[in-house]
Amino acid sequence: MAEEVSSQMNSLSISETNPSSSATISLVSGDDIVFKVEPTIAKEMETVQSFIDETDGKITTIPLPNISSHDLPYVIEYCEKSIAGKITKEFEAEFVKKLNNEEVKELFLAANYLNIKKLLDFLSQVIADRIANKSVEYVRRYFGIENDFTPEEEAKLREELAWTFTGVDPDDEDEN
Amino acid sequence: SRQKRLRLRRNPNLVVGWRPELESEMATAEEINNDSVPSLPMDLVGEIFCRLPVKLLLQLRCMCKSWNCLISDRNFTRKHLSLSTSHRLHYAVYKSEPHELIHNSYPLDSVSVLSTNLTQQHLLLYNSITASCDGILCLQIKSKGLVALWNP
Repeated sequence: MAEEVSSQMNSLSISETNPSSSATISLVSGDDIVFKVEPTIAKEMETVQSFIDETDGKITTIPLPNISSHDLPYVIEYCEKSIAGKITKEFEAEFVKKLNNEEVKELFLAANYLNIKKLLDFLSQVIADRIANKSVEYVRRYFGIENDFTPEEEAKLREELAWTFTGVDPDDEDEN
Repeated sequence: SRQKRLRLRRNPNLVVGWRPELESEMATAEEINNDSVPSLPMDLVGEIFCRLPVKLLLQLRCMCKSWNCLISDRNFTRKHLSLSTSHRLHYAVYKSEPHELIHNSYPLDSVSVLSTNLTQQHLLLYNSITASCDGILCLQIKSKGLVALWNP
């Protein structure tokens, strides 16, 4: 009986989607721009792939409300290179060169949402490298971390850690 | 009554009932989107922090109370250690004139692995055993500033 129900479910969903579009996957960004990608690209994005699997491959238009049309092409580009086995140090350096710190952060969130392990690892390292010489204040602002120390508590801790506070870059306000 | 149950299970409403679940999933994603400030969840920030140099990490203890605890936490330091040692090769060299202990580190992917068989004679080429880990010895080549790993 369960089989019958599930076959009925299948036939219902088929009638609601266009079978001819099943070759490509449409990813819809938060600002409603549609990006058509090959199913192999979708496979790189675990979140998208599990969505496709859950719906038995019958739904090929996938809304990604928290990814903007600015970030999505970067993610797709990285996935394409990844499939082609062409993720080199040179490609990665070129890839992040054009991104400012805020964009890297957005892309990092996108990679996390889409669950792309390789991109997430790579961007973690990029962010770590970029903040390596920044001040505590910069890192706080960058990650939106609220300082809940009293001025006295913070001063005391800073005194204990005084030896670590050497060689910090001055904050660059127009960094973004 | 069995007949009735079967009819219920065949009820197309049941099939339709399967769809709103998907829609509700999308709705939650949309709610997250409305929160336009892209602040990162703590576990994600942790992913980045465990790749930072120790000195900066110690400074970052001043950020807020919870990070002060987390950076000092054993699990975090373990993760930091395992990432640090899987990405860089660290070793210390002792110089006799002047007496100095110098720390060197290379990114691991810049270390090329050449497999050769070492003999006692080869060892003359090497300055000293500069480090050892789990029975693997790290040797420094006298003239060229190269290091070799040896599993005796």
